[in-house]
Amino acid sequence: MQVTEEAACDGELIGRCLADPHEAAPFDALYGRHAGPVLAFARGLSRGDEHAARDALQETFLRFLGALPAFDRGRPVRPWLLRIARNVCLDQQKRASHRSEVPHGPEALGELAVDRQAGAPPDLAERREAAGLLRRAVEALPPDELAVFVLKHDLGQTYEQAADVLACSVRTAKYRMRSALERLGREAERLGVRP
Amino acid sequence: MSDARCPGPELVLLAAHDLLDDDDAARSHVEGCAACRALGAALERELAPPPPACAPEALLPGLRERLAALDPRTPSADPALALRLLCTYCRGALERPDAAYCAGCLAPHHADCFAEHGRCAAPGCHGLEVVRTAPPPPARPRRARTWLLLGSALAAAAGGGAVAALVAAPAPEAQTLRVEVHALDEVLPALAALPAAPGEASDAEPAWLTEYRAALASRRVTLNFPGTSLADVVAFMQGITGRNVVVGPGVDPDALQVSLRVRSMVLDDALRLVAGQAGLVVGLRDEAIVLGAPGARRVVDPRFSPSRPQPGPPPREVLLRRAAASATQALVTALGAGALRAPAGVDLTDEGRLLVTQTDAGHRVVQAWLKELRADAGTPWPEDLAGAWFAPAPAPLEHPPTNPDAARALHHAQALDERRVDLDVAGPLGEALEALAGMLSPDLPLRLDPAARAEAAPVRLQLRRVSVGAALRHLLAHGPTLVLDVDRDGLLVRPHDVPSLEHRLATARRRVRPDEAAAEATQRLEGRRITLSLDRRPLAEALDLVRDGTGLDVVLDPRAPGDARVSLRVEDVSVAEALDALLAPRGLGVRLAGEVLHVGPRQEASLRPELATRPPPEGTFTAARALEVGPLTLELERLTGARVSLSPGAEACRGRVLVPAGATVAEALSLAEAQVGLRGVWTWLDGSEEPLLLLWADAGDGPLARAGRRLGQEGGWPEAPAAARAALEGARSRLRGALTALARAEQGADVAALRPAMERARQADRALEEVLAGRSVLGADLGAHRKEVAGAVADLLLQHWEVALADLRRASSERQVEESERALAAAPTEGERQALRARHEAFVKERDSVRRDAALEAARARSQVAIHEAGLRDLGGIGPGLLSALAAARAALAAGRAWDEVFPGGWSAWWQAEQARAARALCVGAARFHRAGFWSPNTDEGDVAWRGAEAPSEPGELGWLVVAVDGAPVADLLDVVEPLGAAAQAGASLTLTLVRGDARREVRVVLGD
Repeated sequence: MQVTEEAACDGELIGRCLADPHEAAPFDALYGRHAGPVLAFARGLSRGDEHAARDALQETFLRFLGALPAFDRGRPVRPWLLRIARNVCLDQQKRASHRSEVPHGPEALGELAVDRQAGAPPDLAERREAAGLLRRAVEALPPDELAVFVLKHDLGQTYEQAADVLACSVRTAKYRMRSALERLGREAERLGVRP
Repeated sequence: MSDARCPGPELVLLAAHDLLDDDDAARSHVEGCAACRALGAALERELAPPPPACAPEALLPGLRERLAALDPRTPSADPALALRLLCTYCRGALERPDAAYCAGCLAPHHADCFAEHGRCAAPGCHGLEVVRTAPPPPARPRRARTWLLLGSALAAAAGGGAVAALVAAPAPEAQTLRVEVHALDEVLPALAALPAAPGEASDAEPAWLTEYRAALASRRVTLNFPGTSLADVVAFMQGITGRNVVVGPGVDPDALQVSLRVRSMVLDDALRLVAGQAGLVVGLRDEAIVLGAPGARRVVDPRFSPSRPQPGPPPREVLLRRAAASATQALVTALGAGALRAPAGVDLTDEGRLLVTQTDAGHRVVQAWLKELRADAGTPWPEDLAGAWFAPAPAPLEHPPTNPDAARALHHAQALDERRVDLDVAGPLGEALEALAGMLSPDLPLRLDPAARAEAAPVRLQLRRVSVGAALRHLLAHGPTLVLDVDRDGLLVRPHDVPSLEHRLATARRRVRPDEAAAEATQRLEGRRITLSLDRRPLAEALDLVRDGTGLDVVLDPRAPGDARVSLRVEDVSVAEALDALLAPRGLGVRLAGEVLHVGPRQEASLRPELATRPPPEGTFTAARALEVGPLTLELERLTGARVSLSPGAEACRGRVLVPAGATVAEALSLAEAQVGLRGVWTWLDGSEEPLLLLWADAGDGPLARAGRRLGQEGGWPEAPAAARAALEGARSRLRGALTALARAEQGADVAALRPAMERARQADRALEEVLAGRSVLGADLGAHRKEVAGAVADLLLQHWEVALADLRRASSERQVEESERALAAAPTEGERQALRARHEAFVKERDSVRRDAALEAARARSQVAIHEAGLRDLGGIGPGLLSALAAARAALAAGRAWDEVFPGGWSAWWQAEQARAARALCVGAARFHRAGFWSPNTDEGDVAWRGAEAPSEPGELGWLVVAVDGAPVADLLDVVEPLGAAAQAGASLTLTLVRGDARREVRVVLGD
């Protein structure tokens, strides 16, 4: 019986990738299964930089291929891919840091808040703009908090799954998420987000 | 509508993500409040990620292109040996003309790698400048290059003791140059007496050290510790002095108590009193006062101790630099500046060996100079070598690197010393490292290898305002296997035996194209030709030379004896062949995985698996011999037609090897190993069919070899049990010592270094047990020998059977003629007589033909019987009688009986007598076997059947099988034949146990003659 890519589990596909590195089908199947969440995660960590996210996606799968022989096939693939993606994004940001400083952290949030506080309470149109601003506040989160937030909020992962990806304890993951949400909550209050 | 009780967006978000406690009032409010739910929905809308600009499927073609574009390494086109160094940064192969050497420590780098890293990648070296070759002038393309000394290292000259050499084939176009690698450790004391090399690191103190030293000498303290724990004492001292005070690794401050009451005492004295009560010593290191265990020099630095203000001698790396500089100066003085023109030169490898590329004249200069140094090397060290040395502060770069990655690496290296942190940790080392990683800003990230995170050594440190580097060094002192890398991505803590991330990533990428990487590595092994000359050097050092020559990393299996001494001389062979010749005598092989050579047991690792399974040539000694090594070599060459090569240790091996008649070559080699410690290993060089037997003796002297030599040389065989017992006791004593040392080693010594010694002791123990039980002394695989004899006996019996068949056919024909004559005489009518006469004539004609044929067949069979009987005598067959005699002798030896009591007249006489007795029994037994009606339907399986009065009833049936003789089970032909022959007198009887199908019976057979 021939195992189709749809029916095969990730371990089987990895085995086929290793057996014949030139066979495209199993790699394509793995890519099809996991590229979406990886791209979404990379997009979140890249703070909206679509090009960086695409690069990160490709680099993630390149590293993934390179490390396949060492992979324990009994373990799930997606957390591993997401962890690679996180490392790739961190590398990208470090490389980019000497070219352009991306504001993040409470100082960045403070600047946004001051801008908003200088004016009158936002009207409906401004509120729409505020929606963009709140998402920008997400992008200004510190890297660790941003990673947890994207995994939990955008990708719908559990805290346990997020901790596995980020190689930290569940308690740490929750702590970072709490910190991120507190920042975002304060920012939403400053922006005047209303139901 | 929201009301005053609504908690606001912050808590709404926390509740939405399950981060409020179940009993939190805000949580219950949010769940029940419509306004809060609406606010949550609004927040969710505004926090929703923007829709993706493109689907991931659209990126797959681009990914495939990047995958295809991964650059597989192209194999080197130059088949001649070019001795390559390894780049200290990327660990890749490094051609000499491309090498850029750190001016501080002479570690070789690719120029690009040095620029990328921004400084020297050697641990502990902060060199920022390089020494390298200038580009060649156009008129003299290669040899007119001159060394351009950009830094301050290679200016003067001196060197050290030559011990091992890797001699490379000359480059095709160049003047004949040889490359020699000299280990310098034996002459380090002599190097210490040489003048400092220009640019040698100064030992100016860092500012913190001056400040701490002054504080220790001038600050006065009043202490009152009534049985206070050392942990509290340290915290108190830190508080009142404002300086960092820590305890070293392996010291539990809670378990130590201090009772001390002093008033206005100098801090230095007070600390020494505290440390003295706890059995510790005081030192300074990495911006802290350290109370450490006395032997822990890694932590407590005596040189910085207030009690030892004098500096110790320079460390090894500085001495090695002096050696390189001094050797260079010697060459320039003797041969002029031309002696340094590329590709000639003097360098240091990153392992600290002197690499001399010179003409023969240059080598003579260096050799003479080394000889002088060796004469001085007996001078004791002026002081303990453990004196520390501190690297000079990195000088500002005149030309900062333009490569952004290199600039970042430089930034990280500088930040390591400039950034300051407060560290207060207590717990496992892994968690402490994670805590430190959490304190660092994002522009100085600290990455931790999973093994580093898992480090569980307990750490308790409280440091204030120390540099990140100092904090890391204090932490890593608790994990002696961890090292720190500084690279373009920041800091990385990893186990020392785990390659850096970059190396692993590069390796992983090469795995995507494993075929190309393997082809390149194979080309390095098969395509390059080298000459190796090693005389009793450690195996690990020899493998280092091979690594230098190939650029391939070498991993030594823990079971391989890395410190075993090897001797080898091979000229102009491929690297693979040299490795085979080097490792095969130790029972080791090498396996190539990617670009890493794994050296391990030969059956598990072989570059050429087909060689490991290729059967060696065979031959048989026709007479018992006692041969010294030289004659044994000639005899082996004569028997096998193979070349035999002797290692220097084998040439020096003395003693005789006793080989019994009928022993095969393999058995003779086994006996040689047991008796005189001479080992033989078959190999095939040059990929040809011609085998080569390497004879090798463990000149390093395992107890087995010593006992064997003693058995063969001094006292002869009678001393065997006593000598073996003495050697066994020695080995066991060493084993106990190794185990004790291992138990102590858990306190921080090098456990890995002890394992080979332990394994050797265990092997010696096992081998000597065998000697004592007589297995190795009596030698050989008797089972295989026995089967050979059984085959010869079966051939003999077959010929007996042929004689019998010929007789049977002739008798049958005679009977037919006789019956025909009787019938003819009795015929009543002439017509019947005519009819019978024609038939009778045909019978007579057939009888005459049968008589001729039977006579011929019987004669041929009888001659074959004679031949097989003679062959059987020569073989000195080992049947059950001889086996039981051997077993009895072994049991007697094991029971403690004296050797000459078990073998009166000596082993050789006993053995020959037993063989003769067995051969006689076999010949007699074979004759009786046939006459008694036995036959062997399947000699391979050893089945024996007895015809007796009941022949097989169906074709293919065996008849009655003999399963036991006198109660002894029958395994093969000899188990029946020899008892038949051993019963010497006619009238003796044997009881046979027979089976046929399910039937079983016993038959008593009386011998008739």
